[in-house]
Amino acid sequence: MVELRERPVILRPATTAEGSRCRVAERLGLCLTQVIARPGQERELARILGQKLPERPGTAMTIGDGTVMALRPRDWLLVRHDPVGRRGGLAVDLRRRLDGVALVIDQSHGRVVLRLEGAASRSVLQKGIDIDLHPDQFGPGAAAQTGIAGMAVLVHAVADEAFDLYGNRSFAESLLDWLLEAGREWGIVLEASGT
Amino acid sequence: MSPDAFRLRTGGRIDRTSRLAFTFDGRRYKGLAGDTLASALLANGVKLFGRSFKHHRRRGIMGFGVEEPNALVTIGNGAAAEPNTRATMVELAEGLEATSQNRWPTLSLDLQAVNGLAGRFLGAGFYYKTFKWPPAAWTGLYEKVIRHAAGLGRASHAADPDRYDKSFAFCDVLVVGGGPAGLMAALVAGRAGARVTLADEMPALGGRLRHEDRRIDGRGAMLWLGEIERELAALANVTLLRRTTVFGAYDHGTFGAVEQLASDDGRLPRQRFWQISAGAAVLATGAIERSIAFAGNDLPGVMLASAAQGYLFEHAVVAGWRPVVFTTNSSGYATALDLVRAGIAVQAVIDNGPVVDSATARALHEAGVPLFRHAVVERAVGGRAVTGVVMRDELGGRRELECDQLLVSGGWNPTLHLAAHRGGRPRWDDQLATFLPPPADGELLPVGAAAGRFALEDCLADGAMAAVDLCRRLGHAARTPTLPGTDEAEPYRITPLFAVEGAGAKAFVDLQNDVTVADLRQAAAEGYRSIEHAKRYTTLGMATDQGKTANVTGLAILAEALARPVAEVGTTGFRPPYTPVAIGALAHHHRGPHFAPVRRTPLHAAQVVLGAVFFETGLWLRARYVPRPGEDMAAASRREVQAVRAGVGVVDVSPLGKIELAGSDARAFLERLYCNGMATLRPGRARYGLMLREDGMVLDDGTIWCFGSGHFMVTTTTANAAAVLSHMELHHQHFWPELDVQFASVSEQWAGLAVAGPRSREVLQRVVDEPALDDASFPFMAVAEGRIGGVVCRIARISFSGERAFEVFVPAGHAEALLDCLLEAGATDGITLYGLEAMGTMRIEKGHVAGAELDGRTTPRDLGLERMQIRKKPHIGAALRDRPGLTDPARPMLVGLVPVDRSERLRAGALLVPEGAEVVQANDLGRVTSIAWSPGLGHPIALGFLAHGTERLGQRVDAVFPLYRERVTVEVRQSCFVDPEGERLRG
Repeated sequence: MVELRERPVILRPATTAEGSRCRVAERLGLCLTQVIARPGQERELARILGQKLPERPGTAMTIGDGTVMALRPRDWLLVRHDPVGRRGGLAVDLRRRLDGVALVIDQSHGRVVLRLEGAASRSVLQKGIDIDLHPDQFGPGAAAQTGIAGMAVLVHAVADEAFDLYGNRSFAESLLDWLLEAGREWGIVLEASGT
Repeated sequence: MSPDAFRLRTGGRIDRTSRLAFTFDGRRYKGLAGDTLASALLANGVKLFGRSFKHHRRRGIMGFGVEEPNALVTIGNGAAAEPNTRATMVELAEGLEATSQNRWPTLSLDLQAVNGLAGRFLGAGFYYKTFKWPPAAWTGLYEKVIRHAAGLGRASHAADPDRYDKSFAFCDVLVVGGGPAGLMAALVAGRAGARVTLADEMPALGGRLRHEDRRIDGRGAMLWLGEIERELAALANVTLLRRTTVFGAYDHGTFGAVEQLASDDGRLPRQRFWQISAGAAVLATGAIERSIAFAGNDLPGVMLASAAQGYLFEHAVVAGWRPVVFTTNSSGYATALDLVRAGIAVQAVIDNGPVVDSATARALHEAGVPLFRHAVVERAVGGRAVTGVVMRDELGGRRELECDQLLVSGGWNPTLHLAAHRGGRPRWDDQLATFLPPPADGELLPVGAAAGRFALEDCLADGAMAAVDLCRRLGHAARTPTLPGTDEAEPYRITPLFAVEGAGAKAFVDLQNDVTVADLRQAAAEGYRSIEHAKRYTTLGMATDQGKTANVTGLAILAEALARPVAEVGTTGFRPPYTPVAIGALAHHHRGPHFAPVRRTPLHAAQVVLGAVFFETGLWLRARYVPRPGEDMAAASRREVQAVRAGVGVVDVSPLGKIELAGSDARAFLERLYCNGMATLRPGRARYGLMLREDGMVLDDGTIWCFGSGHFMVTTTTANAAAVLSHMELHHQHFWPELDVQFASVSEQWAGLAVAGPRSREVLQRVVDEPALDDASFPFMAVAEGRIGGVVCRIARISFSGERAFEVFVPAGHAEALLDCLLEAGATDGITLYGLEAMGTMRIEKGHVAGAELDGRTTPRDLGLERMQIRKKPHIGAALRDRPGLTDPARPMLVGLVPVDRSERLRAGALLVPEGAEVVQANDLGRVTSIAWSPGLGHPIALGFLAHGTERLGQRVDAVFPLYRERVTVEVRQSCFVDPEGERLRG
C-alpha cells in the first residue's frame, strides 16, 4: 500500500523586510466543503449540519473554529481546520448524510487560502479588487466573490486588518506574485505557511 | 550667466539654502529646491527651450503648468528616458538630466529651421496633399523627409525600467482641483463626514491662490491655505492626492487619474493609475489663460501673463526685467501690478479695450507705468528672443516699444475638459468670450473658475455650496459654512480679441502643432466648415497639449473666417486623457511575465524537476515533452509515443474541465445539453458526450461519469472549461430553473493523470487500493470512486491515446505523491512521463478530434460523429442542426491525410485543392487542421476537413500553403490511422 503525502501549494522561502506593514502566508490544513442545497431543502440542510447558515450572499458566519460563507443562493462554502478531512473523507461522509438534500463537493484542494494581515492589507487588496473595501462597507464578516488582475478570488474580511483570500489553486503563484508586487511599497513579507 | 540672474533676492517658495545641480542639453546648471525645470532654467537666463513641430522655430516658455505648449523635453536617458515632458511640470531634483527635442543637430543651430523659410508650402493640410501626387513619392520621399523633420521626442525602444501601479478608490465626493473652490468643497464635505478624495495635479495645494497676492479673512491667502490644508489632513475621511491628474471622466461616476510618486524611494512605483468610483464629483479645475494671435507671438520671451505671476510668487523668478503687458482683460492689469510691486520695470500695459477706471489701473498709473487703451501689439520684434513690440493704436498709428519680455493675456478659458468627456457640449458665453461647461448632470458639478466664475469669493462660495448640495444628496448632514471674507478685487471684464487685425502666417494659434491664423483661414477658404474637419485638416489642438492654450482662440478665428457665430461653430469633442498618460501607467504591472496570470497544474513543480519542457496553452503552462539528454522535441515525443504504445506512460491531464452535478433532474439536464443519449448511462459507467451550440455547431466534447443515478461528473476540454460551465449556468438559471440540478466546477480540486499503454493496468493497480481494475470488474468505460493510500480518488477506464488507459483523479495536493508512486511502481515496466506533444500525436493517430477540429465551425456530421446524435431527443442544437447549409453533402468532413512523398512535411492550416489546381476560391476543398509525425507508421499524418471526403478515400488532393509557397500532394485516408477496430483499447 502506498502513502500519498500532501504538499502545500506555496513552496517559497519566507522573506523579511524592514518596517513591514503587511504580511501574507498560506493557510494549511483547511477543509473546504461546498454545499449546494436542492430547492426547498435549505432548512433541512441547516438542521442536519446543526448550524445556522448565512442567508445573504456576500456574508460570512463564524461557527466554532470554522466559517461558513454564502456564495450564491443555496450555495455555501464551509471552512474548517481539518487536515484529515482534506483527504476526501469529510466530503464523502457529508455527502452520505446530505443525500437527497444537497450536493456536497470537496474543494479543499481546489483553492489556495492566503491570509493577508497588517495595517496596509486593505490598501494592498484595493489595488486589485474593484469593490469598496472601506471598513464601513466591507468590515469583518464580509465576504465577496470578485477578481484580482484577472484571477477569480473569494475575499473574506476576517478582522479589521486581516483578510483571507481564496484563489484557484492553479493561479496560486500568480496571485502571490501579484500580492508581493502590490504590497512592495509597504514592505510586504511572505511568511511560512501555517494553520 | 549666474544661476540667479533672473531671480529676485527675496520671496518665492524655494529653499535658497538647497542648491540642486542639473543639466540641460549637456550643459550644467544650478537651481533651488522648490524649482521646476522651467523656473530653474528661466532663473539661469535660458530663453530657448525647444524647436517647433513643423517650422522648427525657436520657442521659449509660454506657460506655468500643464498648458505649456513649447517646452517639451526628454527627462533622463537610455531606457528610462521619458520624452515629451513639459518642463513646467518637472520638479527639479539633484542630478536631473533634461534634453531638448525636435532639433538637429543642436537646439541653437537647427538646420531644419529652413522649414521656416519654406513655410508657405507647409500650410494647412500639406501632409494630406502629399498623398495626392505622385503616389510613389509618398513612401520614397515625403514620408522620410516629413518623419525626420516633424515630430516630438523619441521613445527609447528599450524596456521601461520604471514600475507602475494601479489602485481602485472609492469615495462619496471626488474633488478635482485643489484651488480655493476645491479646497472649500473638500472642507465642507469632509466636515460633514463624507468620504472625500481631493486630487490636484501640482505638488502643492492652492491652485491660483498661490500665484496672486490675495487676502482671505484679513490674512495673506497662504496662511488661510495652510490652515485648511492642516484641517483636511487631519480628517480621516479625506484623502489628499497631490501630483495627481484626473485625466478622464467616464460613466457611472468612474474617473481615471494618474499620480506621480517620489522617484527616490525604491519601494514606490513611479506612477500610480487610480480608477476612482465617486458618488459625485466637484470639478474645481480652474481656468487656463489664452494667448492672442499676432505676428511673432511665438518668439522666446512671449509668455502668458499668469505664468509670469506663477514664476514670481512660486520661485521668485522673472523672465524679463522690462516686460510689456498686452491684455484684453482685467487680469493683465493685476499681473502688471504684481510685477511692479516686486520691483520690475513694467514698460507698458497695452489694452485693446476702452478706458476703465479701476483701482489696479490707478495704481499702475501712479507707479508710472504707461497705459495704452484701444491699442494692440501688432507684432513682437526680435531674433533670438523678444526685444520689442510694434504697438498699433486705434487710429492705426504704430509705435515701437523696447522690452525683454512680452506678457500676454487673451482672457481665461474654464478648464472644462472633464465635464465634456461624456459627450456634453460646452456652451459659448458672449460676456466672458469663452466656453462654459455643459450643464451639470448631477454626477459632476463644475464650480468656480471652471464654471466661468473667476472671482475668488465666487470660487469659495461655489465650492462650499456644491459640497453642501452633494452631501445632502448623499445623506450627509452638511452645514452651509460661513464663507471666508476676501479682499476687494476688480471684477473680470474682457474686450474679446483673438487675432490682431493683419495677423497671418507668423501669428501662431497652436504653438505645439505650428498652426497659424493663416492656416485656419486657408482651411475655411478650402471649404472646411465643420470644426471637427477643420481641426483635423489644420491639426489645431491635436498635439500632446490638446490645444489647451489654442483651441478657443482657433475656434473663434475659424468662426470669424466662416462668418458664423462661435456658438454655432461649437467646439470639437473632448476626450480623455486631459494630459498625456504613460502607457506604462495604464498597463501597470501587467507586463513581461506578469502580462496575464499564469495557471500551473498541481504537477508543475514535479514535472520541472523531471526535466519537462513547458509551453503556454491559453493561460496554462503545460509540459510539452520530457527530453532525455540530447533529445530534441521530435526525438523526445517519438520516444514517449513508442513507450505508451509498447508499455506504459503517464501524462498530466489536470487542466481538463470538471463539473460535478447532482439532483433528481441531473440526468435530464445532461440529456438536453448533450446531443447523444444519456438515458442509459448506468452508475459506474462513463460515456463520451458531444455538446452542441444552439446553432447546431459543436461546442465541446468530453466524458460523463456516472457515480449514482443522480450524481455525475462531466469533463470538458481544457480550453472550454469556463465556457461550458457558463453555458450550463445560463441554461439552468435562465431557461430551465425548474430542473432540480445542482452543479459546480471541481476542475481545481481534482488533479488528473492519464495512465496509458498495454501495461497501464498492472502498474496502476499497484498503487490503487480500490477498486480492482481487472477487465471483468472494471472494463472499458468503467468509472469508480476509490482510494489510493487512504485518499479518495476517482478512476475511469477511458482512452485518448487508443491504448488501454485510465484516467485517475486525486485531490490536487496529493498529485505529486501519486506521480511519484506511479513512476516508482512502473519503473520495472519502463513507465514514461509524456507531454502534450506525444498526447497530441497519439490522438491524431487515432483520429480523435480536439480544439483544432472543434473550432466552432464544425457539426457532428463534419466530424464523422453524426450517428451519435439521437434525432428524436430534444437537445440544444437540435432545432438548427438540419439547416440546408449544415447538411450539404459537399460540406468538408473529417478525413485522414498522408503525403504521397512520405518525406514531405505537412502544415496545419494548409488549404486543400484538387491535385495541381490553382489556389482560388472555386477550387477550395477544405483544410488541414492537425498534423503529426506518426512513430508507428514512420511518416507524417494529418487530419483535415475535405469536401466529399468519404467519396475521395484513396484519391489525391494538394495541401497548399500559399504563404510559404508550399504544395504537397496527399492521399485521402480514413481519419483513424491506428487500430481502427479498437482492439488495443478494450483488450
